[in-house]
Formats: sequence, C-alpha cells, structure tokens
Amino acid sequence: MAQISYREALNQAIKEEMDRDERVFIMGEEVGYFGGAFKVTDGLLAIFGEKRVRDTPISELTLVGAGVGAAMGGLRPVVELMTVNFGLLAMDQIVNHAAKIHYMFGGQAKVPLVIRAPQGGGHQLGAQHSQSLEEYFVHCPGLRVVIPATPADAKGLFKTAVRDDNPVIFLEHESLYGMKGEVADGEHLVPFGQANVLRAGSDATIVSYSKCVNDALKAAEALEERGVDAEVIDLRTLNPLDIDTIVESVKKTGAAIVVYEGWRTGGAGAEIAAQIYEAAFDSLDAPVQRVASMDVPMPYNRHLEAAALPSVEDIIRAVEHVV
Amino acid sequence: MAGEITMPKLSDTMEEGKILHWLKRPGDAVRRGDALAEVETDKADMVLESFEDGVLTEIKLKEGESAPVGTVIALMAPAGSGAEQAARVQAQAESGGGGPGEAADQHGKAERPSATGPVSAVRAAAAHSIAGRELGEKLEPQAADGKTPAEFSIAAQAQPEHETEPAAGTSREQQRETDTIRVHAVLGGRPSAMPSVIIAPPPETEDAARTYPDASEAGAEAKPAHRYKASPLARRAAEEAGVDLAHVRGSGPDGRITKRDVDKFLREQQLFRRRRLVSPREGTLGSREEMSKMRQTIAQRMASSKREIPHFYVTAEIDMEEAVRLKESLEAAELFDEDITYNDIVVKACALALLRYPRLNASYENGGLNIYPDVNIGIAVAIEDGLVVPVLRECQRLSLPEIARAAHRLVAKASQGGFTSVELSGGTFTISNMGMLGVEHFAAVINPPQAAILAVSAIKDRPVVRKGQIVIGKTMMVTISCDHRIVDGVVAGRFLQELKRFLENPASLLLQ
Repeated sequence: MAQISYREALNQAIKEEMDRDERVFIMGEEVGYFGGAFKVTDGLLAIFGEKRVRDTPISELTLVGAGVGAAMGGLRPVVELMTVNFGLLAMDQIVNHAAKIHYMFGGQAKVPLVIRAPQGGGHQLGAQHSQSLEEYFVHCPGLRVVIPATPADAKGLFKTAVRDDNPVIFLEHESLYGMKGEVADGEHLVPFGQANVLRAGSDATIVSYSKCVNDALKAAEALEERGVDAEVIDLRTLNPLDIDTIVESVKKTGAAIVVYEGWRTGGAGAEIAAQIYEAAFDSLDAPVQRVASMDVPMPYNRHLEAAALPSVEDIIRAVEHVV
Repeated sequence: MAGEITMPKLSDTMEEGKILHWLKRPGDAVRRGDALAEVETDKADMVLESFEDGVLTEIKLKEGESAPVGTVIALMAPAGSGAEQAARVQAQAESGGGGPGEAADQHGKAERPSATGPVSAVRAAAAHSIAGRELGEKLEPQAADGKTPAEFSIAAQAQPEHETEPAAGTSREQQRETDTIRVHAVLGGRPSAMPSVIIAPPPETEDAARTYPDASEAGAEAKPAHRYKASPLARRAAEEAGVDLAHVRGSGPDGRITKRDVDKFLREQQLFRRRRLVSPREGTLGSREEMSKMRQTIAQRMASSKREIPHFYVTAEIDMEEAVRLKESLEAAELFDEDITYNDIVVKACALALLRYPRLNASYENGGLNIYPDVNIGIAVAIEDGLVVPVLRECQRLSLPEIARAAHRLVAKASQGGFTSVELSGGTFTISNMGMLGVEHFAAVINPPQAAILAVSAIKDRPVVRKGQIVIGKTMMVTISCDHRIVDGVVAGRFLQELKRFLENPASLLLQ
C-alpha cells in the first residue's frame, strides 16, 4: 500500500498491464515524448519504446479507428483522447464501429479496446472544454462505461478494463488527477458493475460517481452534524450499472439523491431515478432528487462556472429536502 | 345474465348479516370495488364491495333488515348488457329522472361514498379461502358465475368521533357521505401490563379534535384516497397499519405525507386511545339501550360458553422482575423498530408453553379433541361497546419482534378499523390482558370453541421471598380458564408452570 495520486495510480496500472501482456500498447496525442497532456503516461516511452507508446497525429477519428482495427487484429490497445471533448470527433468510430462489431460479426470479432478520456469542468476552460459526457456513451449499447472516483479504483478498474473483451470508455475527471489515496501495490482488480458503499447511513441514499463522490462524502459529513445519516454510494461503472446496490440502499433509507456533473436533463440521474422507481417505488418516501450541472454551456467566468456546477451545498439542500 | 348478490360470510361465526345502509340504489352504475352496502355482522360493521362492473337492478333486502348468509340481497346487471340499459332507463323512469345529465349527476353522487370511504379496503380473498378451509366449509357467494369468494371485498373503518346518526331530515346523500362507514370507536388500546401508561385525560373534546378530526370535517374535506399527496412508502405503511390517510397531516414538501407522518399519527392514536380508556362511555342512568349486533353476539356466545363449557380456573403468581429488565434492556438497545410490550412477551411465552401442552390449543368437538396444527393466539381488545379478538397466526413460528410487529399492527387496526375477516378468525387460544387497568386478578370466560383463555393482570410491586429474605419484587397474576371436558387441573397447572418458567427466565424467549 502506498499513498499515491490518481494520476500515478493510472500510470502504474498502465505500466503493469503493459508489463503483464505485450499485446497492450498505448497511443494518443502527446502520450509519448510529452508524457500526456495530464502526464498520465509520463515515463512510459522510456520503458516501452515507440512501438508500444505511440504519438499520433491530431485526428481522433483516425486514432480511435486505428485502435478498433488493432483490437480486432488481436492487440489490446489503450487509446488516450486528450479530453472527452475531442472524443466527439471520434463518435462514429466509437458508436458505429467499436460498440457494434462484436454484435454485427456474430461474435466472431471482438474489440478489446480501452479509450481513456479526461473530462469535467471547474478549471475555467470554457464551454467546449469543460464537459462531462458519460451519458453519451451510456446511451449506446455495446460499450462499457467506467468512471473511477479514487486512486485505488482508477488502478483497479483500469486493469479490469484492459482485460475486458468489450470496448471500454474510461473517463477520468481532470480535478481528480492530483487526489491522493491508498493504492495497493501490484495486482489490484476492481470488478465492473460493483458499486462501492463508501459510507453507510439510514436516512437517505446519495448515489454518485467520479469527482462528485467526494462532494457527496463532504455533504454527508456536514449532514451528520445536523442529525441526518446519509449513505454514499460510488457507482464506479455506469455500464454495467449496479442497480441492486442502489435499490437495496433505497429500501433501507426511503430516499435517493443522484449527484453527477453532467447536465441535469437527460443525464445519468434520469436513468438511475427511473430504475429506482421501477424497482423500489413502494420504498420511496420522496421523489428521487437530481443534483447536477445546470443546463447551460459552461460559463468561463469563475463565479458563474462555480454556480453552474453541482456543489456540496447543493447536495446538502437536496438531501434535507427529502428527509 | 343478472348477477345475484348474496349476503357474504364475513367472519367464520357469521350466520346472518344486517344491511345498515345501501350505498347504491337501483339504477346506479357500479364499478368493481365500489362499496355497495354496509353490513353489520356479529364481529364488526363491514362494507360489501362489488366484484364486477354493472348496474344495480334490484335491492331485495331493505336497510335495517337481516338475512342469513347466502341469501340473495340484490341483483345486478353486468356492464354493457341489455339488462343494464333497461335497468337504467327503468330506474330513471321510476325516479322521475329526465335527461342524461341528471342521470350522470345521480351517478356522480352515488359514487361519492366509495370515494370518501374505505381507504383501508382490504380484499377478503385470503380471508374467505382460509376461513373456509379451516371450517371445512364451502363459501360460494357468487358460485353462479364462477367467481370465487375471493372476489368479495370487505372493509371496515372506525371513526370514533362520529357516533350519532345524522339528524332526521338529513338528506340521504349527506347521510351517505358522513356515515359511509360506521363506527366502532375504540376504548382499549394496546394491551400492556403496566398501569403507568395511562395518562390523565385532558378535556376530551379538544383532545379528540386534535388527534382525530371528526367525521363531518373529514367528510367535507374528503377526497378520493389516491388524491392525497403521500409518498409510496407512506401509502404502504398506512395500508399496513390500516390508517386512513385523510386523517394524517403531511409534513413533507408541499404537504406530502411521509412515512414519518404516518408513524407519528399512529403514536398519537396510541396516546389518544390510552386517554380515552379512562373515560369510556358508561351509559346513562335510567335509560334503555338497544344492543348492537356485536353486543348481541357477545351475549349469545358468552352465555353459551358458560352454559356448555365446564370452566375451571387456575391461578399463578409470576415473578416478572427479569421480564421487566428484559423489556427495559431491549428498549435501551433500540434494536427493534417496535417497542416490545409485556403483552408481546406474554404472547411469546404462551406460544412456547402451548407447544409443550398442545391440548390447551384445541377444541372439544363431538366427543373428540381437535388439536390445532398452529398456535393462533387471539388478543382481546376492547372497543366501543364490545371487543374484538384479532388473531396472531402461527405464533409458534414468530420471533418476539415479529410477534410485536404483528400484534401492534392488529391492535392499531382495532382503532382504525379495516380488519379482514381472516384477522378476526382462526384463533386457537386467547389472551385477555387487563394489566393496563391495574387489576389485581381476574378470570376470563372461554372463547368457544377454544379450550382455554389466559387472563393477565397487572405487574405490581409485591413482597416476594428471595434467598430467605422478604424483598419488594414485581409480580403478575395470571389465571387460566380451561374447558374441563378436555383437560384437567393438572394440565392447566403444568401449563402455568411452563409459562412461569419462560417468563421468569425470559432470555429463552429471544432464542426461539
């Protein structure tokens, strides 16, 4: 066990997987000589060389397409998108190819591809570079969507992603890279579809993932001082979604609050709320609450950006509204 | 095909029923689940609901009249049939009704009672089938068109503050609205062996108004149950406890009723009933009262019990020191949602003792002895002008917290109404607890066809001898009344010994 950052945990995971399996390689814009825009691949080029740590031209469609082809050909590529925002250029390869090939070839071909992408707001990067787009991928069958909130999960889920035979969208929140936490040395696998109950509570269930999990934990601590005992669940993966853990918790608490950084409308909260209603309607003492970003392009202005993003105070308010 | 509506068998001892009010009139459209009539049975006043859509064509049994179970009391034409159309036209003609507008209005009014009525309507499906099976009877209220008894529904609901009949001249519609379901107010609350729970009564009218809005107010504000803003969890909790959401004030967003509000309401009701307990209506000097159907049934059954069953009585004094400590420590641990009462503890101990002496869990029948497969313990609960004995089924399978949960739910229903007939039938042994009244000692009359009844008195500070010293202990007198045709004194004595052993070593009650 060591205290390392989310960034270091990912670097470690990539390195260990490349050590373990020579079919694993990484490619993307600036992943080699520059060490990645967020320095996640720092130092890998020196260890593995240009053949397995490949800098690519600035064309997301091309590099994801190359990844799909390499995966079909028997390799296990890890493609880094500089941010998820640029990944929109590669949507045809992701949605029409990566997600569908296994199905359309009757199971004869598979695409064991990992697409890593930083995302999220809060750094005054403007409307085009501050998005959280997990729902775009959750909406499309055939893709795994993995979205770790802690250094340990970043490592454990990444290693599982590399070994999964499905295309995996691996989303990293830019605000988390510096976050430190205990991470197991060496082999550490976190299975998909297994949510993590980070805090047990009896009054309300806060369901979250990625950076918002930390906000949810802070809110739960503040709520405890006000006599409200909130349970906090980190989903870890959105596809597969561990609805069983959510429902079990809601049956206990009678209230659910979904916290996520994407836009409120049509977001993960809508899907999760709907599934809660389907499975636990009679256990609910209040409507499921959504705490999310406002339905606006992200403002550049610092204060406006903070107002548009979900905050700890927003979570507290939502919980107090229903308990 | 005209459907015949027969007098349903709403309890296993019901032989005849009296129509208190028809809630529909000939020509009225009836939907499945609508309340057709209030029926007074030997146990409670219940609502007869329709099990199909159609039009009520004829009423054969008038209000205030009684008829044996199975008698045709009304006729109904199924929806969409020619008979339905004819019935409507005829009914309109008879009532002098003119255009369709008026007819619609009439239907609208007629449907109101069901809307204001039994929120806690409970399908009697299980009730009939189980009661029927146990008694070896075939219950076929509507065998003619292949419907099972399960298609009948009953509901009962108490409105303690509304006891008087509407004044003469009150229109029929008003009467229906305010009096949809009749009233058996509850005097006795949760049986408990501790007299200390009785709280001095504040001025009753004020108290009553606060804890239980009177029926006219409720009637005026009444909306169909599904219109109340209540969370799904609160709805479920209310249904399970037999609470009418009309009386619950919501504290959630926009006045939504939450589970917490239902829980609070139940607690208030509990308090309310305890307060009522000390000032029941005792009758007026120099007056004559007609006995209710329930009172008559009690009179008839108790007289026949004393006449036919050779009672004998055995009393034991039980040291409750440990049981008191157990109850307190369970409360302190806050492990269970329900507070465990002394009554729950006695029920559990009885269930265990009965398993060792099953002949007290039996009935004398035609020279033989039927020993029941399950221990179904009835708890006598006083209600206005009578008592009900809701039954805890299969007590031998229930843990103490399960008994507490089930018992409190049933006792709460005694005030709210809404018993299903299955909840009032099938008992194999009865407990009558007057501990809350502080009584020293009493003996109860056997509830036929059962073999025995246990009378539980208050836990009191009494001198006891421990290790050769006289100290102040907490003891409780229990008296078992037994049917001498079935058992002799020695069985009763051994049963009490066993009961005493469990109650004096109550940790054993938590293990099984």
